[in-house]
Amino acid sequence: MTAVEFTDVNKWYDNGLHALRDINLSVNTGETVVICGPSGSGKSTLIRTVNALEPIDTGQIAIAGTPVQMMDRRSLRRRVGMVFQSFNLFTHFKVLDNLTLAAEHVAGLDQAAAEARAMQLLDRVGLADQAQKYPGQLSGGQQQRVAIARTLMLDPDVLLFDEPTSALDPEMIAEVLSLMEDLAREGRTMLCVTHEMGFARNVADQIVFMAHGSVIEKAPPAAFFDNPQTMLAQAFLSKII
Amino acid sequence: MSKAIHWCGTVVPPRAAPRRDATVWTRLRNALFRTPMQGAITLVLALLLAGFAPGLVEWALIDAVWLPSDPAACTEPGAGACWAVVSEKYRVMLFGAFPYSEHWRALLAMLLIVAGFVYSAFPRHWRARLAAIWLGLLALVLWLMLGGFGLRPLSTSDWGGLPLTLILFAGTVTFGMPLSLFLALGRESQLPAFRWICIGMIELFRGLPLLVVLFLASLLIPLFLGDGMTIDKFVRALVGMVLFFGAYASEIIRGGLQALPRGQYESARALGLTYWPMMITVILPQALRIVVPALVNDIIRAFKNTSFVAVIGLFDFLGATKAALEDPLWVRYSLEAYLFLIAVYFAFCWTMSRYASWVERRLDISKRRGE
Ligand SMILES: Nc1ncnc2c1ncn2[C@@H]1O[C@H](COP(=O)(O)OP(=O)(O)O)[C@@H](O)[C@H]1O
Ligand SMILES: [Mg+2]
Repeated sequence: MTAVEFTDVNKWYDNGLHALRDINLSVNTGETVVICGPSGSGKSTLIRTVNALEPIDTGQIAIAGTPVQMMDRRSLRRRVGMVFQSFNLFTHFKVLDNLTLAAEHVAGLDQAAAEARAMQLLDRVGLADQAQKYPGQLSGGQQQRVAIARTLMLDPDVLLFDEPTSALDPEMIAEVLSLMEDLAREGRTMLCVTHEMGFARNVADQIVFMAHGSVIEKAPPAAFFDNPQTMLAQAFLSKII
Repeated sequence: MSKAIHWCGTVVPPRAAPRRDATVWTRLRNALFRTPMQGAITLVLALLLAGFAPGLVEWALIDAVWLPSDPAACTEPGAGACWAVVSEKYRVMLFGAFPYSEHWRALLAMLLIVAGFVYSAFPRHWRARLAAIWLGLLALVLWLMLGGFGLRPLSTSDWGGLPLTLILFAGTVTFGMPLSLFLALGRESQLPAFRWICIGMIELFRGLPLLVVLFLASLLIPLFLGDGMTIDKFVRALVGMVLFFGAYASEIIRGGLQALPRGQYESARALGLTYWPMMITVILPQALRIVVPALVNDIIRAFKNTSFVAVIGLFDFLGATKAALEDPLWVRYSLEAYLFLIAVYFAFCWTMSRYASWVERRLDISKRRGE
């Protein structure tokens, strides 16, 4: 089953920048895809088109066969969750309320059901004891785990991660990566933009290497890391590893 | 072979900070005589104070005439401040032409409004419900001030003095806050026509002095309404005040909306929230919180601005005082009457500005605690 399918996708920003160029890519259900590439290559733009945070100009993106453009925003975003580099927790809500908000407003759960589910997920990310705190009282790693739990509240079919560990102090990266690894092993469909090459090598099913708004290489991790086919990928890998 | 570890390092145990003792005396010395120059300024000011204070005290307290037995007492040689003017005229100054027998109603209305502001001062009461509470409160105030339903009917032209000032103030904020929210959101709207209308209103009323806005309101509104229909002066003044306040406050709110990190909008949208739930639950509470100190300052300014309506012929506290002093017997003692007026205005404004700095500190503290 194809979970996400890009067909000839192009996007231009308002200033005329051709940010995505003829993207063709398909992600199977249960697959974890790591997207890497130099800064400014269009990685964020690419995954933000999947939940329509960025509109595309031509081509088509389909979630389980249905074009994104044809879904209403609310159901699209119930099916596609996103985790951001800077966590973006709602700072004026307690951790628990950060989780229940969308469940109540978007999924229509009642408060009790939403809180029960939230506590279950907080427990799962190891933060049940932090439920009554405000995000500002947690460490970066804890905040990112809360953000992941918040995304899981709507039980999305596809998870998007945009550099989820780039804003973290080094000692907190592992806790987030291992949570992501658990999710991947559980069989979730994930698109991750990350520079964590260890994670990419061990967890990803597919590596997508981007440069200048184009997908330059698509390969399983072993092939990509041991035997990059293009000069661009070689140059990128020599810098990052 | 592993290297033997023979030294695990010494953790220095924490010690209490040295005490920064400051006796009252050293603190005073630091405040007044830190440098020779500063000391000299302190001395000069102290001398000036010593020169003026006794005369002032003698005029304002010792030789003052307190009771309005007869204005003649104030003209006797050696008489100081004639506070008698206040004890004679305070009813007129405070209530204007409001019928004497109904003063209790105006007093009650004032107390209601003050209670409303005290209630609104607590951050834990800042909920959407507050708007409803104010509407209810103003309805009650209107009943007290206009009568009907068992009370003697009065009209807004009977209103005057401090109640008028306070009603104008409360009305300005109660209607001005929703207007400012509306304008701030409208200014960022995706619908061009709506956006331009909002921008136009904001720029127009921010671009004019309040006095001009008040004259416009009192001259133009009847023109729009056409012949036959009249709309009373008080409402016209209120409309002017609301538009002026709304335009300024909307720009403050817009500042809060822009100060909020884009990530808050993005994660709300990524979670499937549509515009209104996102605005109401995520964006506005945070944006408004950022701008509370600025909004409180604008609210204080709205209170001060009420005194402008005296110019378009309303007898607010200032207007009523002016009118009270037209009495030829007492007109000579305007100074004392205005000092009383100043004291009342100052009490209100000073309380509010103390509150403003308290609330700013409080929000700062809870922000630092990460709430
Ligand atoms: N809102 C925007 N408007 C115009 N250009 C943008 C915008 N967002 C990103 N870009 C540009 O698009 C290109 C791709 O950006 P991005 O997808 O963020 O790259 P990456 O995530 O790979 O670093 C960059 O050159 C960036 O400057
Ligand atoms: Mg990026």
